[in-house]
Amino acid sequence: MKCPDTGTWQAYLDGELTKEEKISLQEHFQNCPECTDTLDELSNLESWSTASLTAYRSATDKMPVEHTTVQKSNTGNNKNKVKSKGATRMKKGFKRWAAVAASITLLTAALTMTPVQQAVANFLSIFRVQQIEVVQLTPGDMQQMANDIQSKVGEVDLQQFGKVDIEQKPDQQRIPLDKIAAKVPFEFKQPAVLPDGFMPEQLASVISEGKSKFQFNVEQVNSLLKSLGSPTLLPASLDGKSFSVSTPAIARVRYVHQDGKESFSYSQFESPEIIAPSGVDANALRAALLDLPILPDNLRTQLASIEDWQHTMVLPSGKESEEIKINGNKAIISKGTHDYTNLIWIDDDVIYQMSGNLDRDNILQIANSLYQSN
Amino acid sequence: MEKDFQILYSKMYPKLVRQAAFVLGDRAVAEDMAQEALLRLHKIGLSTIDNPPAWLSKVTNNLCFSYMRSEGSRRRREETVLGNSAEDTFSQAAASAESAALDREEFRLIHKALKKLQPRDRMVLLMKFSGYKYDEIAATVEINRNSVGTILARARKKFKQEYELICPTT
Repeated sequence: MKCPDTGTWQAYLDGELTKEEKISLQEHFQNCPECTDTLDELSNLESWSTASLTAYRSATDKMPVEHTTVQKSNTGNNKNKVKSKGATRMKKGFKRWAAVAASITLLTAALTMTPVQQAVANFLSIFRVQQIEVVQLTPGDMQQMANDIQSKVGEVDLQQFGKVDIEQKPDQQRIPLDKIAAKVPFEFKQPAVLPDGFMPEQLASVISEGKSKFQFNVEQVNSLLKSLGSPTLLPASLDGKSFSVSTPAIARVRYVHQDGKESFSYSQFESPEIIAPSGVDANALRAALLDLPILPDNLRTQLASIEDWQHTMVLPSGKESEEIKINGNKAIISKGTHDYTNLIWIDDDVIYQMSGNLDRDNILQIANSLYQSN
Repeated sequence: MEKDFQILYSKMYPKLVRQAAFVLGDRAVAEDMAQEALLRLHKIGLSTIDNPPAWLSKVTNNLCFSYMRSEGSRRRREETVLGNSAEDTFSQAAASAESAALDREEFRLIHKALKKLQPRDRMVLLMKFSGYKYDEIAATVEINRNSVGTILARARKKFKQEYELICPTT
């Protein structure tokens, strides 16, 4: 008898085989040292993972319960739960913040692989986002840049290169769909058309605007630039200058298919904005960063060719993405793995993003339907 | 009828939250998932379901898996865009600002290792630990029943490897 595969032995251990299969496997295993080893390995893995997950589960069971209240209407048909803004929420707001702030920045692709790169990249996106461009970047390029940073600079810490003061923390609330309009500073649009079977979740997320100040430590940044072999450094006049960064208010709704297996989300947010203090030569900053030797040449050329860079959000793309129009505005549609589609466009200083398990036709139909109802 | 639902709600909500929190490692999202499952039951009507607790538990698993996959795709997308660390950096900054308790360290390490697994593999691993049979696991993650053993064995192996990469001393 040919040796059964690992999966079969696993099923054997888990008691998921028929009686006949079981008997034939037992006979085999008595005369096969290799399969004995396989069984040993599987049992060891099982005990290890069971021990770890037992600890893990007792931790998840004990996770702090957020303060929750259940609001009931008289008929009891509407159950809306209002949540307090706990620490977890704040953290999520931060994550979103990071994603948005980072994706708008001119050199995000090159510079966000370590904390300091994040800071430098944030620093660069000085003006309000009004348009989008795609730059082609292969995973190989990304890896190469990551390796360069790792080998030439090593571990870096954001704190070394500047100081961030959060003046207004963004916080996230979960509120019913019909309450969103009153909570956000832009006109909240809802799709008039949804594909069959999709429904919005009862509660949508609203994240409030955040404000922070950022100060550069030029000396430290320049020593980083030097260690990367960069010919162009930041001007000393930048030291201690304070930049204000506003992160936008965001409304996000998740739509889930009734079978629970497919979903997409739709977000609307204002353009993020970074304001530089007077006397800062933004072009000098840009030059210093474009001169970074770790940038692959093709990326450098692509970035340098963006003329209105102060108002441009750069979306690095390694995969197929396509430029289309939504309501007359330039939009980027890109296809991820597993039927995952992402669509983004900017209309009147408001950024719209949709992504989820939808095909191209569906996502375009939903996007265009935002403009029908209004 | 409405009263029955109320009773079921208060009985099942905490259970479903724990179930989802284990699968997702995120209490806040787990609450959303549990609530969504209960809302769905309410919409469909309690009387149309044979075994509401089992139904709720199944739907909660489906919702968690769907969330994991969309979260996974979002992360992969952002990783392509941002490199690996932007999100981590900020969440770490936020976590340290909130002075994360040291006794959560072990949880964090395991959570980190689990997140390295494909959503499908993670779901299989966690469902198996929670006592589900191959049939139920196969239905939730949409694979052939005969593949569950293979995926489970591989997921455990990878889980252990990732964990050891994160803390090489053990």
